[in-house]
Amino acid sequence: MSSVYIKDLCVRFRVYEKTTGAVSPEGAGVFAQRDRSHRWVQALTDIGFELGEGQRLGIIGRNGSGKSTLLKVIAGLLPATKGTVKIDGQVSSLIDISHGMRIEATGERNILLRGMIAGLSKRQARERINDIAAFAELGDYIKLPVRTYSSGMAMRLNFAIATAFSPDILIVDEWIGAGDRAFQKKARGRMQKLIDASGALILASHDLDLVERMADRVLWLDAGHVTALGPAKDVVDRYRETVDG
Amino acid sequence: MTLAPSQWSLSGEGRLPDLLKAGGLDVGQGFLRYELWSSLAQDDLRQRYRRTLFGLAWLTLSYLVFILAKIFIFGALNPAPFAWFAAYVTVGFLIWQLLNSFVVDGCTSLINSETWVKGVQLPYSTYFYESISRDLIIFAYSAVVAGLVLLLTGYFPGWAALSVPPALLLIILNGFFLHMLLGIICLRYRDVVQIVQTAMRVLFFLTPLVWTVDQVGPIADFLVWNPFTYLIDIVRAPLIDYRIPYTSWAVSLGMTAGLGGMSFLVFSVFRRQLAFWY
Repeated sequence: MSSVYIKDLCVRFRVYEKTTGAVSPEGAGVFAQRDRSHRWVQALTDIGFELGEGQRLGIIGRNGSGKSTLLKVIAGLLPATKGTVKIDGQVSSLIDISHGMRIEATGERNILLRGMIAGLSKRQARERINDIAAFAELGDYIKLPVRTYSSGMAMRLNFAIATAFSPDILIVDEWIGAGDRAFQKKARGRMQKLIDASGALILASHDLDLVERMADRVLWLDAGHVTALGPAKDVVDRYRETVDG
Repeated sequence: MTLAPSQWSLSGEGRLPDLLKAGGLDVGQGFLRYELWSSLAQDDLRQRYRRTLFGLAWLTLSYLVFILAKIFIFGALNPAPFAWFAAYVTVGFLIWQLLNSFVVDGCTSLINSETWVKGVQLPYSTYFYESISRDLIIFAYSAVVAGLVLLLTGYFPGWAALSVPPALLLIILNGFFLHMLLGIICLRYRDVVQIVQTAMRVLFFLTPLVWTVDQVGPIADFLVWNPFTYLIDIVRAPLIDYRIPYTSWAVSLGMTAGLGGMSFLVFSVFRRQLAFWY
């Protein structure tokens, strides 16, 4: 069973920097203030939607419109300032996949730690080391500290770990790929498999073709408000018209 | 089977009972991730002593050198028998070091976990347990020295020493509460980190560690206001004076209850907001 229920969700970020002025970029969260020393950025306002088993939701909108913030709230990384968030099912987020990587520890050790973070027991995580290491194609480098890897190799390991544990609800911020040309093809296949296996998908992306292909419904955010929520093609077409003029 | 919660809900406006319940769940679920936080604590320390010849044994070695210097310098100034004073300094300082690390690391445990808090969904208490177990590993390596000094000075444990394990448990409990309280407050008000660190440096001299109460005359009256005096006494007195200090136990238990209530309240009420405080 996997479902996401969100109602009247509001998120605002307190601004600690002593700044004045209230101009925010077009399409991004706007400033709000009570007085000079209490300022916020209103990141999300009155968001609501439901997502059930097997459904795929795409999220589109300009930079700063609240896509990642919304994903973080669903992933349980940020609390709602107001409103209701109900999640049923194991959530896994591919928002910033390098989080939780310890560069001084070996590749193997990182797989173990990240497996435990994902909720596996130490023994279960240990059993996964071999297939994750094999997927990352790091050979015996897996026994060296991650600090010694090339950036492409570190990304490959990250990707292999992040996509190894299949969740009920998958949250993806921008389609991720990793590594050189040969690895990218493999990564695409793995992403597709992960999505097929997940109970529900929420994908935020600027790649409109991808969103149209992957999602059955699309949520269009603008300055933290829902501009449209409906069938993927309709919403994406409207968004295209607005952006392309 | 997975340990991560698979069903949860977060509603914006929480009532106090709900907040307390969620706070309690956080503390409980965090504890259940013991395989994770104990591994993370070990990694932290291994990383600190990476590529050194002695590795973690440096903890024992540096404590030994440090404590010997203290014994010989302050022992020369103290009228008490040398063997007793050596044991007094070693045990007292061992507990002080543990308490100090609980306070100082408590302040920074959440601040230093920024990328984790933002990146992975774990009970926040996981970071407290990680920090506390790191402090306890360091404590264990130093305790070897303390044990040696006690044996060499002829202070073999007597019946009263049976009260030491529960005393240590009480201290660890205080460590957890300090992490909850200071972790949250310092995350929001970063100046508190500096205030606390400065205060601890001063408190070191105001705690009977390298001097004895009868040495300082009227200042001794002020010691009743220093909470660390009692927590150190409940471990030190049974080991070197073969008595259980009931007054110190009573004060320690009272303080722990008060600190526990306060820190759990602060943690439960503010934990929902803490992701915004980075």
